[in-house]
Amino acid sequence: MRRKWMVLTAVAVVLMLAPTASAGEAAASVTITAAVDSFAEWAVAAPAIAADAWDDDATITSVDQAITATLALTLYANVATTLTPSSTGTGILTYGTETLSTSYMITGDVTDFDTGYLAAGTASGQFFATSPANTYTVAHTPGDGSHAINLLVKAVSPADRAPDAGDYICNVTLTASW
Amino acid sequence: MRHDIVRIAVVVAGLICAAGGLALGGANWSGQQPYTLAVPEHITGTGAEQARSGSLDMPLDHDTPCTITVSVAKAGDEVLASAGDTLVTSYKLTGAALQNGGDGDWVDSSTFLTRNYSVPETGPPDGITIWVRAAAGSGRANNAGTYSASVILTASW
Repeated sequence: MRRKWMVLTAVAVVLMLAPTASAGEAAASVTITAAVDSFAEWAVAAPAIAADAWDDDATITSVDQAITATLALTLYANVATTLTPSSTGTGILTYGTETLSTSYMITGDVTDFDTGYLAAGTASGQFFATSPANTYTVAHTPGDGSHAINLLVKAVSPADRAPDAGDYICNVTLTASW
Repeated sequence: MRHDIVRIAVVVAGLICAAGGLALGGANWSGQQPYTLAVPEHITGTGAEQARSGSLDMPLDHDTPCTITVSVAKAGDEVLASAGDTLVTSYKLTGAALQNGGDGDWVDSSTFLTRNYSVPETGPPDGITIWVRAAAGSGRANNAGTYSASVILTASW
């Protein structure tokens, strides 16, 4: 009987000591999620074609002279988008009451790029046409979230007189929607 | 008779200690498991300004000083990924029980795996908080979708 108690006591003591004497570890796995929504944004929100940024640094110095400029834009998008051009004004290069004949092209990563300049105007077939709307499609392939879009502009001086000297200004808005 | 009472008490104490597991010298992660951390706000643009973060409290019950290490089940698990696309992923581990309070600033995902955090005091439960920050890349739009990652926190003593 005494021997039995001694064994039990020894076992109990071992059990008591076991947790303190041994090292151990406890692991916890954490699963993390984050979501990216569909979006499109221009790399530069308000780019400009400055007076000295026309091709070959050209300025108009004669009648019936055409000069061109190309504005390289980058559209970050993870979804197919539609580009719609518009203007808060007429989109025609203007200085005071004087204007230059103004036309535009869109090229680059659009499936329906222009092959010729479209006059600044809202009539059908013109750059700012609203009915039917002049739009451009930017297709999207997963993994390709950057699209090169070129806005080309052409300014032509009148053929029958010299326009006033000065900086002619207009604006174009390209809206990406999805 | 008196000796028997003492012996019985010793046996009962031993059994309680063995059954309790944590009663002497151990640690356990508690709280709601499995642990899932969903970053609440979505990313809707590019660049670091689109960083989104979230946190998860992971109570640690322990009655011995321990050390927390970070690991992954397989290489790359620490980075938020979706169909081959990844987000810039950073972590922090904080909590009053951690020596020096844990991380004061974000730790990039690869460095996070090399960290170990000392929990010098005893006294359960201690609130440990894991933080994650997901940032969009720059120069392109990340694919839309749900990105996932997983890390393993191990408390050793």
